[in-house]
Amino acid sequence: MPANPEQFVQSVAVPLGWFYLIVCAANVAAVVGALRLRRFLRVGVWGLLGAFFAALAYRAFIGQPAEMPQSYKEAIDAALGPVSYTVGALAALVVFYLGRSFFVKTPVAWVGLNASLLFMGLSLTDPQFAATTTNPDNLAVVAMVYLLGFFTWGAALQAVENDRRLERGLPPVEKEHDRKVLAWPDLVYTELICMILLSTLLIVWALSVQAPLEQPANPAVTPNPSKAPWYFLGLQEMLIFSDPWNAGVVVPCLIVVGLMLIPYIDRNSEGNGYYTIRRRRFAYIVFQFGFLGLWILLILVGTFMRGPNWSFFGLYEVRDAHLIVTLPNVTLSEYFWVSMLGQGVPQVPAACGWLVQSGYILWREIAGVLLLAAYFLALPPLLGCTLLRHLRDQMGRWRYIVMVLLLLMMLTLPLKIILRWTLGLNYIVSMPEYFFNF
Amino acid sequence: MSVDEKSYYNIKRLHVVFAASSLMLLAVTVWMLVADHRRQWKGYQQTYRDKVEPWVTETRILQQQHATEEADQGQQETLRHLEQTLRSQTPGRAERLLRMPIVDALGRSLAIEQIWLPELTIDYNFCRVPRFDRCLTCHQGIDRTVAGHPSRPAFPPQRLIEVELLAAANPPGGSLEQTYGFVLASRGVIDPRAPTVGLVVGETPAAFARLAVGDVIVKIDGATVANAEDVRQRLLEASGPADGFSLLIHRGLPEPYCAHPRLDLMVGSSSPHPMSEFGCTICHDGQGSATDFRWASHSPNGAKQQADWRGRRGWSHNPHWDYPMLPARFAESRCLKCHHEVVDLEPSRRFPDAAAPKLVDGYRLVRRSGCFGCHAIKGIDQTGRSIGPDMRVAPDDVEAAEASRLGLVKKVGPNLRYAIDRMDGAFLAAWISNPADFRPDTRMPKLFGLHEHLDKKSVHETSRLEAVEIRGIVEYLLASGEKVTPPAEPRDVTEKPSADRGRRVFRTQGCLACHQHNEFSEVKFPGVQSTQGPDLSNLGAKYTTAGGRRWLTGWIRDPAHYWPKALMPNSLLAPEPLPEETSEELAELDAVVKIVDPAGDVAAFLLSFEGDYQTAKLPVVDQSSLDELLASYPDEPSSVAIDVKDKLQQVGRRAIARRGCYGCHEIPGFAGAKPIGPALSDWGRKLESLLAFEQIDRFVKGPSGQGRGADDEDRDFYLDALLSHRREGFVWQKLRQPRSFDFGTTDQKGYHERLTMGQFNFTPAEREAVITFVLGLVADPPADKYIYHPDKQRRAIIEGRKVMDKYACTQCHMLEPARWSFDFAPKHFQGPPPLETFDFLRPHFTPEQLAASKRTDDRGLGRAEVVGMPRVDDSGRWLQDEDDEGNPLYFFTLWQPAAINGEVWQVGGLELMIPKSRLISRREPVGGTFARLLHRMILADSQTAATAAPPLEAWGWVPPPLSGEGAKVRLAWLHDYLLAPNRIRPAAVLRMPRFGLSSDEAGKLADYFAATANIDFPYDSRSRKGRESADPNGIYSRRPDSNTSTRAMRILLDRKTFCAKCHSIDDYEPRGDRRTTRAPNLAGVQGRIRPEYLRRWLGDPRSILPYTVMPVNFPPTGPPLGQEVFPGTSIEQLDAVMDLLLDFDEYIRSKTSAGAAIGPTPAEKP
Repeated sequence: MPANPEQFVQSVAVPLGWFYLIVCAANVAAVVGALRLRRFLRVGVWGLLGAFFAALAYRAFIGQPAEMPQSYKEAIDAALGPVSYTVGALAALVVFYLGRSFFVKTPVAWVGLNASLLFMGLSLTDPQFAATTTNPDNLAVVAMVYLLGFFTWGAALQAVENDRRLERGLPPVEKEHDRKVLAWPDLVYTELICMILLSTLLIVWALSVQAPLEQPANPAVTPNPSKAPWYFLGLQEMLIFSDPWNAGVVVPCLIVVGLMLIPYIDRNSEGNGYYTIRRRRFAYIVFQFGFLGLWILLILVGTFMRGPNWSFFGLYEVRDAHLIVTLPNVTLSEYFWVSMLGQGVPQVPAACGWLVQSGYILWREIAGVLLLAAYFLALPPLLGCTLLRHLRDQMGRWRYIVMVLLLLMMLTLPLKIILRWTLGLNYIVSMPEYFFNF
Repeated sequence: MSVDEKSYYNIKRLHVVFAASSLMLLAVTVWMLVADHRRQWKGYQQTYRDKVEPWVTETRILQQQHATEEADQGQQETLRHLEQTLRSQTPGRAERLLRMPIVDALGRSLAIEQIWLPELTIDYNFCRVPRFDRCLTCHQGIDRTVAGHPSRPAFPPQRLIEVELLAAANPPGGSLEQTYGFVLASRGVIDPRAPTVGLVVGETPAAFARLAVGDVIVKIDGATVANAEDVRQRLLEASGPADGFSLLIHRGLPEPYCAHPRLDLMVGSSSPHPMSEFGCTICHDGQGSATDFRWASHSPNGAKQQADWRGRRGWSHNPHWDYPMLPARFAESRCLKCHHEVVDLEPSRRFPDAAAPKLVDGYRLVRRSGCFGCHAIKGIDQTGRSIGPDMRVAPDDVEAAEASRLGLVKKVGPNLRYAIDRMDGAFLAAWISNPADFRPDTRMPKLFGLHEHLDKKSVHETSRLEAVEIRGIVEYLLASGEKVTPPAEPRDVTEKPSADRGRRVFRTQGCLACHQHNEFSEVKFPGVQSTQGPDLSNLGAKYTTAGGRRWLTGWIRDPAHYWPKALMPNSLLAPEPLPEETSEELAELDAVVKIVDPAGDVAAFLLSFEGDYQTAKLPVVDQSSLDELLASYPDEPSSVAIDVKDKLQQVGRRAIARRGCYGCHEIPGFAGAKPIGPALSDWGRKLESLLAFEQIDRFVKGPSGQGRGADDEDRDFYLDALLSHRREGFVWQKLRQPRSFDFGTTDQKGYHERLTMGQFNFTPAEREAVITFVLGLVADPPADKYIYHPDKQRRAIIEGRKVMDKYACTQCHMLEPARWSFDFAPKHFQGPPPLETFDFLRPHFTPEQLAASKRTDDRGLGRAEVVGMPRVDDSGRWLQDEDDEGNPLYFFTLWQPAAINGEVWQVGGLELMIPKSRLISRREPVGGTFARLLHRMILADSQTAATAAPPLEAWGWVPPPLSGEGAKVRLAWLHDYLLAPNRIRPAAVLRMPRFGLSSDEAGKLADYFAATANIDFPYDSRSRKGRESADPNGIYSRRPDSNTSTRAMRILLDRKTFCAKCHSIDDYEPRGDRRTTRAPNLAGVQGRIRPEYLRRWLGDPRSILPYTVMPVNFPPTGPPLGQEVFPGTSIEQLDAVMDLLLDFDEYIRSKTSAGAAIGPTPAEKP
C-alpha cells in the first residue's frame, strides 16, 4: 500500500542515515586496510567514497536524504522490462564470465558493492521500492542477493587465482598447503561456533522483525498476488511459461533427477578439492547458468517484479491492481498457418472418430511437433558431431545422450521465456484436447 | 587419523571466539526475555495500577480528612476504609517480586483483561466468530467515574483549559487552602512533580474558578510553573494583578489512562451501552484481540497524531486486519450499525446533548443532496432484515408509493413533468451547464464542464459533445413536459400586484423560514435544515416568459395544484382588503374596498429582482457533433431521415439516462429507471482493493489536483488517505473532484464510458459529515438484541421527527425551549416568592427531587437546570445586565417549573437572574428559529408604527412553541387541523400554512406530540372513537346542571371583565384591535383542548404560557370576581366555566330548538 511520498521520505530519513553511516564506516575500514598494504591510490579512492557516504548520511540525518531522480527510476523500470531483464541478465552472466579476471579484483568488487549499496540507499526513498525490499517476507531474498554475490565472487576469486597458477605450472592454492585437519577441534568446534552465531542471528531477527497478528484467512479475499514461499518463486514463475504438468511436475522431477545424476555424468576429476573454472568450464557454465540464470533470477523476478494479478512491474512502479496489461498468447500453429501460410488454422471436425481427430490435431500442430522432434531428436547427434564433440568422446554415447537431453530440457525454459516475451508465443505444441501443451 | 595433534586453527583464538559468541547468545537470550517481559501493555497497566489508582484514593482521603474535621463516626470509618484501600493499592514487596521476569509466570499481578462477547460476532466470511476485546488491558481507566457519580469521568481525556482565579486577601503565612481554597496533592498523577490539585474547598475562589481535583497547573499568567513550590510562590508571595490570576490547566489524563467521553451514553455501567455488554470493537472496529498498539489497528486522526504515534507508540499501518479502527473524526459513523433510523440519535429528553451530531448532519446532507437518487441506500437485505438507514426512493406515482410502502424518501429535485412551461430553453441550458452561475448555493451538482482532469485534446472534444448533450436535454425536457393550467385567479381582486406589498408578505408570511433571498441577506439560519427551499434571489432573471411568471404566481398560490407531493405548503394567501381600508368606519360607509392578492404580490416582488445574471443564448447546435454523438451510441442506429429536433431529443434522452437526472427529478419517460451509481448500502465495508483509484496519485500531484478545498486544514489527512488508497480518501476525492479518477484514462475510454458523477457544493465540514455517514453504511448489523429497537413512545417520537424534518416544521415551531444549567452558592441563593395558587396548579416534585436539588458538590455548590427563554434584545442577543457588584447576569423566564435549592419555582412567576460566571451550559432551543426572527421583526416594525408592541405579548403572535402540545390538544383535532388548518388565534401574524401531509403523516405528528407529552397510550389519533384522554379526575364525564351552566354562560358572555371581552364566541366577534384584544373562538374549545389542560389554563394561564395576555379571571386568593354574574367561589366559577366550555355544543343545543324556530308543524290534511 503506497504511503504519502513526502511523509514517507521523512520517515525513512533517519534509518537511511544510519545505513549510509555504516557504509561510510566500511569504507573507513577499507582505508585502514589499504593503508596497511601501503596502496595509496586505494586509500584516496576509499577515502573519497567514505566522505561521499558521510555526506549522504548527513543529508539523511537532517531530513533531506538524496533521492533517485524520477527520470532514473523510469529509465531503470524501462530497462527492467521482461525481455531486457531476461536477456540482459543472461548477457551479464556472460560478461561476468568472460571478464572474470577483471571482476574478481578486490577493488572492482568493492566498488561494485559500494555502487549496489548506493543504489539501495537512493532507491529506498521510493515508497514502492522500499515496500518490496523491506517487506519482512522479502528480507531473506535481499540478504540472499548479497550473500550469493559474495560467495560467487569468493569462489571465482579463488578459481581465477588457481587457473593462473595452473597455467604457470604451479599447484592450486589448496594443494600447496595440503594437510589434514582434525575433526576436533578444527571442524566440530567451528561448527559449534557457527551454530551459536546463527542462533544469535535468528533470535535477533525474530526480535527485530516481529510476526504480525493476523486475522484468520479470509476465503473471500485472497491476497493479490498470491505468492509461494520465496524459495519456490522460481517454480511459480515457470508456471507462466508452461503447462502445470510440465512446469510443476516434469521439470522439478527432472531437476531432482538431473542433480542426482551429476556424479554419474560428470566424471571429470579435475578440480577435486580446489576451485577452478578453466578446467571445468562446461560444468561451471552449466551450473551457473542453471542456478543463477534460471533459479535465482526467476526468484528475483517473482519476489520483486511480480505484482497484483502476477503482472510484471518495474522496481519503482506502483503496484496497481487495476493496471491493464495486454498479454498476447499465440500458439505456434497460429503463426505457422495464419502468418506464414496465410490460411486458417485447420479445424478439427466435431463428429468423427478419435483416430481422425488425432490426425487432424497432429496436422494442425505439425509445425510444433516437427520442431520439437528436431530439437530433441536431431539436435543431440548434431551437437555431438560439432560443438560438443569432445564431450561425446569423453563421456561415451549413452552418458552423452542423457546429459544433452537434460541440458536441452533445461534450455527450453529460457527459450520459451524469450519467445513469450518477444513474439508472444505461448505454446509450441498446443493440444488442449489432450491437456498437452508444450 | 594423523598423530600430529597440532590443530589447523589457533585453538586459543577459537576459545576467544567461542566465548564471545556464547556471550552474544546469552545477551540476545536475555534481550528476548526482557522483550517478552516488557510488553507494551504491561507498562500502561503498571502505570495505571501504581500511580493513577493510588492517587485517586489519596485524594479521596484528603477530601475525607478535610470533611472529617467536623465529622462523625461514620466518616471516620470511611476514612479508615480508604486508608486500607490505599495500602492494598500500593504494590508491596511480594507484589514487586511477582512482577519480576520469569517469576511473573507464577502469579500474575498484571494480566491481559478481556471482555468476552459471544453474541457480538465478527464476520470472518462464512463464519461468525464471537469477539473478545482486550482493549481494557491498556485502557484501564476507560469507565472510571468519580465516586458517587455514575457518569462523571474520574479523568476525562486530557485538554488544556484556562481558568480565572480571583485574587483573595492573603493572610500572612497563609496556605493555598486558607487563601484560595485548594490544596495541592503530594504528587502528580503520572508525573510526580506536576503541581496537581488534590482538594477544592467549597465556596472559595478556587471553587468559583471551577478548579477540579486532578487539574495540573501548567502556567500562571503565562509563566510556566514546574512544581508545587512554584505554584505556592507565585500565588501566595508574588503580588499578582489586582483582580486575579489566569491559570492554564491540564485537565484529565492522556490516553490510555483517561475515561471514555460521554460516559452517560457509552461505556458507563448505567449508560445504554455498558462496556461489559458491548465491548469496544463493536463501535470502534480494530483488532480487539491485540494487546500491542500497532496490531490493535489504531488509526491516527491526522498527520500530527500519526507522527506522534509512530514516534512514541511504534505505530505503523497494519494491513493484517480487515476492520481497522476508525479515525476519531469518523467515530460516530458506527452508530449507524444499530441506529438505523438516524434521527433517534438526535438530542432527546434523556440525552439532551447530541449523541452523534456529525453523523446526523451527514444523514441530512445526503437526504438534502439526493445522493440516494443515483446510489441506492437500501436499508434491508434480501431477507428483509434491517441493515442500515433506509433511503429507498419513493416511486413517482403517489398511489404506487402508498400501496407498496417501498420507497421512503422523496426525490430531491423539482418535478420536471408538470412544470416545464415555466422555463425557457436558454435559461434551462445555462442552468444545466452550471447551476451555480445562477444560484451559487444550489443543491444541484455541476454535471457539465468538469474538465480539470482532461488533457487539452479531450477538453475540446468533451466541451463540444457536452454542448450538444445540454441542448438535447433541454429539447427533451421541453418536448416531454405536460402543460398544466395554473390555478384559477381569485376574481374580486381590484389592485395590481405590487412588489412593495409582496416584500412585506414575503417577509412575514414564513417564506424566509425555508427560503433565502438577497434582500434579506441577514437571515441565515444555522444547520442543514435551514435550506429546505431554494434561494429565491434574482428570480426575475429565471422567469422571463409570461408563462413562467404565471406559473410562479400559481405555484405560490397552491403548489399542490402542480404536484401533490410538493413539500412547499399552501400558505393560504387569500385575497384581502388593503390594511388601511379595514377600519370599521370605512367598512360601514360602504366605500369601495380595495382587494389585493398577496400571492400575486409575492410573485411580483420575487420577479422584480433580476440581479446581474445574464442568461446566455440557447447554444447553436453543431451538426457534425450531433451526428458524431448519435453515431457513438452503441445500440441505437442513427437515422438520417429524422430532423435536428428529433436527433436532439434522442441525444437528450440518452444524456438524461446516462447522467441519471431522474435520480433527483421526476422526468417523463424514466419511470422505474435504475439508479446509475453503485449502491452505497454497504460501501463502508467495500474492499479497498475494489476501488478504482486509477491514476489519482499522479492527478493530485499535478496542478489541477489542488483544486477546491486546497486550504482545507484536514487536507493532509485526506490526501494521505487517498494516496494510501483508503476508503475515506476515495470518497473525499470523489466528493471534491468527482471525475478526477478518470485522469490519464480518457484516451482509452470512450466518451460514454467516462465517469458521470457531478460536483456537489459542499464545504469541507459538510464533506466530512457526508463521509462519516457513508463510512457508517456497513450493512453489518450485530445480533438483534444490540440493534436499537425503540419502545412505542420513542418510535412515535422518531416517526414524528422524520415527518417534521421532511416539512421543516421546526423552522417555525420551537419544540424544546432553551435549557440552561448553572451552579449557585446555596447560602446566597434567593428563593422564589411564596406560591399562591390552586392546589391542582402546584408543580409536583417528589421529595427525592427536592432533596437532589439541594445536593452540593465537593466544592459546596449546588447545581440546577432550568428550561425556558432568556430575555433577549432587539437583535436576538441575550439581554445582559449587571448586578450590584458589576458582574454580568442574564434574565431567564421559566417555561417549566424547576426545583432549585430545595424550593419550587413556578412558571409565570419572577424571572431568574443568572450571573454569567455561574453558567455551566446553555443549550439552544430546538427549533423555532423563524418564530424568534419574526418576533424580532414585529417588534422592530412596531417601533416605527404608532403603537409599540409589548415584547412579551408579541410571542403570542408568532408560530407557537409546541413543547407540551400533546398535553394541550386533542389528538383527533390535531390530526384534522394539520390536514386543513384554520385560523385559531386572530392575533397571529403568520397563519399555519396547509402542507401536503398525508393522513398517515398527520397521524404521526399527532403521535409525536402525544409521546413527547407523555400522555396516555395508545396515541391512536386516527381512531375517532371515544374521548381519548383517560379521565383520572372525572372532570370530563361530569355534566353540569343547567343552572350552573347558565350562570357560567353569563361569565362567558360578559363583555366588561370576562371572556367576551376578547374571545369570539361562535358567531360573535369582539371589537377592538385584532392584535391585542382578540382571542380564539370559545365555541371550538370542546373539540380542541384537553380537559386537564383547560382547567390549568383557566386557573393560571401564565403558569403555562408565560407570555400570554390572558388575565387570571379566577384568583386563587382574595375575593372572587364577578359576583354579580356568578356568585360563588373562584374554584366554583372556574369549574363551571370549564364544564360549560367542554359541553358547549350540548348547552347551545339545549337552548335552541329547531322545532321552535320553525314553528309547529301544520296539521296534516286529512
